[in-house]
Amino acid sequence: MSCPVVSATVFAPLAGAVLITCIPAARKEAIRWVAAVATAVSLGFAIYMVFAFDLAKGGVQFVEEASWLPTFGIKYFMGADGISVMLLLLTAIVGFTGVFASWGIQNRVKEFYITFLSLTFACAGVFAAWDLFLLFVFFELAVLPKFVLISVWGSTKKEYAAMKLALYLTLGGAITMLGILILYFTAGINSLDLLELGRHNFTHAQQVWLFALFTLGFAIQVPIVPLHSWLPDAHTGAPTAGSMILAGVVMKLGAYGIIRVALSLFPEGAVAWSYLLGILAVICVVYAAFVAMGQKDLKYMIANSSISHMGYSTLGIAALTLAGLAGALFQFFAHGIMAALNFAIAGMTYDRTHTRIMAAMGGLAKVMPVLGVAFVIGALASVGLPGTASFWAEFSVFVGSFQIYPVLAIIAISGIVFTAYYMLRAVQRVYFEPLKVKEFAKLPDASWYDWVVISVIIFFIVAMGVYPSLMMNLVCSGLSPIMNDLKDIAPAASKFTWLATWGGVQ
Amino acid sequence: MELWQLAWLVLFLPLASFLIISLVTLPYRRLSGLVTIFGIGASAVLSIYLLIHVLADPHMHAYQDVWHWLTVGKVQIDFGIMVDPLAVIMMTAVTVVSTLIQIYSQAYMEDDPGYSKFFAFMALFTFSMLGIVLANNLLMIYIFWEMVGLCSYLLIGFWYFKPSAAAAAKKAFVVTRFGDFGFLLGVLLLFHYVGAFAYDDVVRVIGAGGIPSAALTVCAVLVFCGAIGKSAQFPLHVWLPDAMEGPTPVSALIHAATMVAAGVYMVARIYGLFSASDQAMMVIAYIGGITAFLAASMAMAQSRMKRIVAYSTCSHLAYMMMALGLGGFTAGVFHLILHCFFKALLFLCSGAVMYLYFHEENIWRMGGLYKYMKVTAITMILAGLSNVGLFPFAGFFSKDEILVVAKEANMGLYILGSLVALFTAFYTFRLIFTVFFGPRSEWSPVGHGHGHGDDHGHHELPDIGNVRPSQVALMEAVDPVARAESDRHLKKEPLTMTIPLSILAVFAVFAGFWGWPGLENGFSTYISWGHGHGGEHGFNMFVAVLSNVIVIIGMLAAWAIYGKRKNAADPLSEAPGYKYIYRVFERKYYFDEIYLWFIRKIIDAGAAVLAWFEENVFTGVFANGIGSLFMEIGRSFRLFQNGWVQRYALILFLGVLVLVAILVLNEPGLAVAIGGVMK
Amino acid sequence: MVSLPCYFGISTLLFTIGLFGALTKRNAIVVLMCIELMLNAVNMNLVAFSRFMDPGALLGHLFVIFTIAVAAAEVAVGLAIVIVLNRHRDTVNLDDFTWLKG
Repeated sequence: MSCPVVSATVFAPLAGAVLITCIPAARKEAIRWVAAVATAVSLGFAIYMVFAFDLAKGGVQFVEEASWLPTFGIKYFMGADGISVMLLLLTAIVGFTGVFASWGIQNRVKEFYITFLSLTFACAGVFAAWDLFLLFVFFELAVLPKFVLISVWGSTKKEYAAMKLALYLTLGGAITMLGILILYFTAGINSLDLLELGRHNFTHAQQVWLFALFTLGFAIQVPIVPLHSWLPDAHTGAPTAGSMILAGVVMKLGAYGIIRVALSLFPEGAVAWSYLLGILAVICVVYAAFVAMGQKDLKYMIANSSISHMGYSTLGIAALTLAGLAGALFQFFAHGIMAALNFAIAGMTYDRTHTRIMAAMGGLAKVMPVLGVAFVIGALASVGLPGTASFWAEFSVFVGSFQIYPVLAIIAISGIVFTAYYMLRAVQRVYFEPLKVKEFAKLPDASWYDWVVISVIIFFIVAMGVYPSLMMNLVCSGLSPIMNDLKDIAPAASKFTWLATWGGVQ
Repeated sequence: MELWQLAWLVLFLPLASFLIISLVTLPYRRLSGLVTIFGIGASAVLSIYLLIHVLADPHMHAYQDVWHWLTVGKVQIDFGIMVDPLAVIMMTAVTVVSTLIQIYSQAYMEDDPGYSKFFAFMALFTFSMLGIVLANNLLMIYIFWEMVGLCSYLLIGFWYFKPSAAAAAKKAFVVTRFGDFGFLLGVLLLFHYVGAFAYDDVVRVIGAGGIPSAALTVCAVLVFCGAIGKSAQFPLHVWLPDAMEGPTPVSALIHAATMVAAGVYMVARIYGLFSASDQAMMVIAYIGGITAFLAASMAMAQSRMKRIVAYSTCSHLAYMMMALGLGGFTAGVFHLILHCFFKALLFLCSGAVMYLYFHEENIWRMGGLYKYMKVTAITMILAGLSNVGLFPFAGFFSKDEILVVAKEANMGLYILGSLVALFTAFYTFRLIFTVFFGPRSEWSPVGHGHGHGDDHGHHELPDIGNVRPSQVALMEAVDPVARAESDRHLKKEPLTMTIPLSILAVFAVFAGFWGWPGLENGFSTYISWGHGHGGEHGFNMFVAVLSNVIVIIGMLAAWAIYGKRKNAADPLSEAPGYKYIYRVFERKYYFDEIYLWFIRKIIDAGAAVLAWFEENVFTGVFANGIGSLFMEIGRSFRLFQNGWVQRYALILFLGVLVLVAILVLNEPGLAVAIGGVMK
Repeated sequence: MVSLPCYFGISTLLFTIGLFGALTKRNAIVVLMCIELMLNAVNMNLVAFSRFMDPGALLGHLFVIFTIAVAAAEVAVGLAIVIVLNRHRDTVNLDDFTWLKG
């Protein structure tokens, strides 16, 4: 271990935040650039990790270990397997573009960037922590900056949204904490090291209930219907960069927790609950799609579509097949950057028109062609078009889940039609058609920092759409221990009895 | 390098054009146009080169070249091409037609501000279509399938600031996505049984009986759903007429060589899957028959030029589907290839008429245009003759084969097919007679407000009106006397239009001879399915004569009604008795209304209900309700908080006393212990 | 020799006086003094217990020294607060300070 790469990736934003505290608040430009450099460093390390990760070796790499609270066996244990590497990259991308998306903020710039960078730091920490306690610390650490971001720099109903988010997420945190305590005492090995816990044999009953407890705690953050009520308000109320990181990264923390903690440690529990999880996932997909369809507010629509898209992830997890899980994880990445793009464009549009009601806009593509193109690309990524990362994610989830739950999968796949309907309708209402409001005719198109956001994210969307192997191999490497655990206990793949009997009759 | 690897080049040259334009030459209009023409043109040249090699070797083995793309556990996804006569012939048709359309577009799009963008999209479109043609596995065809959907979305919505175009683009995408939903399910189900996506594996497993027959039918029908969507078959045909909102070259490309042809091509490509299930074949045949009839009847009552041609396309595609469904593999594919040429020509001619005639689309505002645009008129008549399938024009040969197949396989569909042929002759010549012959209508292109022509594209803001600079001079020409003046302003036919038209006309007239019955190395030598059945069907004099008689009857009827019409309206629209039927045709059997009702009343209303539910039940009752419950509890406890510190202390003390009392009472031993200490 | 209950009696007396004063007096300084009284009652108990139960250990004495130190600090803070209150409000009557009313 020559260079602590993982820590560097995680702590670079925090270092930036600390540095910013030393800069006078009036020097806004300097503050912004420090933030940009800090996140760029993080991004650089993340990209380095993607290529330096040894696929042949697999497992957890770039390990850093130090004792922290030896009495309780708590360690500072950072590292990255394939999954972590991908999600660290995601966090770094969203953090980096988030800095540029907030370039236009004038109100309390210093405090804004400190908060934003701390949030990025905490999110990245979750993905890199291999000690359950450390993971939990990062997990909870992320709540506070979110609260501040929304309540200070947010819009419409911001206090309400911030409070709701904080309450929901701390409730999830409390449940998780309870789970950790129970886990600590049932395992009784005086360690919260995820790898050691993974080797411990829990009884079937312990697995079933601990899985339920952890999943419940994390499900609030995913979110899984009916625990999702905080999300639309929070995403809509947050400032642009806040929405980006909320949709792009924070939603993934919960789902990541389910895979990293609940599923890895309690595979038998996962098998026991998987059908229920699958049903909830499909409800997420369809219900949220319809709710999104019924929205008049652009950001509410995108927020609900995020719930719908994370439903695909949950379905992939519920399937417990390699393709399903890999698709679910790939969806983290794909949806993360795509949602960041959608929220960025929605924010840029809102900054210019000062409205988010879709019916009040229209014809903006003529005025702001660059934003229009980006919005169309974002919408198409949302629709899961081939050539974008989302396609592979959704397709992999479908392949993985179709073999296990054909009926659920069919319902979920119908979501692609609904998504196309409401996303393209939004494009039509906001950016196409004749210009409705004369005052909008002089709105400026993308500024240079908007260009940075748009081009970086679109680059990754398309790159991962054309060359998905890069991420997919990382994900599969990260999933191999889980698949090993599941090998003997997962239900038999074929549930096509209905078709088989039908075939037999003829 | 192997010869067939050139196919990769054919595939990627258009993509390269797209990338070059969108990344480099976007600001340089002329250059962008040339990049596309040369990119696709080079593809066309290479395709022809490959075609020559194919022709020299009628029994070539399918060449496959696979590049490994992605592995997820047992799911292996390849990016591979398959080169065989079917692919090469189709590839040649696509690239040649596309090249001619690009040349034509140079003139057609000349003063459009989105000129570069247009050519970028056209190149991407061609690339996507070539991907479908060359794909060697189901997933790849699905991917390019979606890409074609994307390009059609971009191109139909090219003039996105027109509400109708924006709506049509969305409609095309969403409606075809319905089909894709079925397609994807079919692919997944097949994957479940086969464990791979490649055609070869699918066919191998089917051959080995690896799929139960019912499941096979389900797979085939689901995959066919994709074709229903893309090829605009009943009941998903509704997007097609609206798709005419795009620029005319787009219509020509979408409706001749690419998007709609993709469905038919796919059925032909995976014929091994479909032909293994008789039920699926029957579904295909009947869907084809129904669509052919519906579309042809609707075409007889439309008044917008491009829509008539669009319905004609729909009807012809359905004809091909019918042929494929009835086992006429060669006939269906042959019609597909020939149709590429004469339908592209028909579209481009319509576009030329509109381009020259003030971007007007309503045929009742035309008439007697022959003398103003001779090349266009002649080529359009040739295309029309090919379209109706009159001997010896190209369309005849393939149509005749289809009818022979139908007559052998299914008498009902044969009669239906003949009826459709009658309709086709009627509506095609209704269009030609109305536009080029008869009296000039009293309409003049002045101040007709918000028309529906293509011309919005030439202005910064659409609500200024759709008057082009060249039309400004005509603004005063209100009376018939001044019309002579306005006619002088009709543009001359540019060479960039007439040359592609003439080349296509040559194909439209002569290409059919390749399928001359009994010809050595004729079309069926290269394209046939299995041995005997599905291969070449014999020539049937009865069918051939009868179909020609039917066509001539249709043309004569059109002449009788439209050739000598007096007024600027369809005489049939007010014909006693018939007018009700006419209304049904004109309103497209009210499909749009029914679907719209479904979307508005079921989907949108459902969405509104759920959005309400979300806002009032989840947020209102669940989140806020639980929140306010705790707030209420807190409010009642607030009364204890009176601010008198000493009162708090008193309560604290009393509390301690109570605790001590409880402790002592519960633990008798404690009192004893205390007593012990006291001693 | 004075027995343990005697110490208890005195400390109880002290504690009760202190408690009564702390709960009823209106003057903040008197209340502070009463609190000191209660602390001393406890101190006395501690020393007494220590002496009678385990004479050699001096544990209770240790505690008492702690308590005295903390009490001194507490009185310092308390008096400071009282002084500030007096400056701002011109009164040290506790009934006037009900700002924390909910």
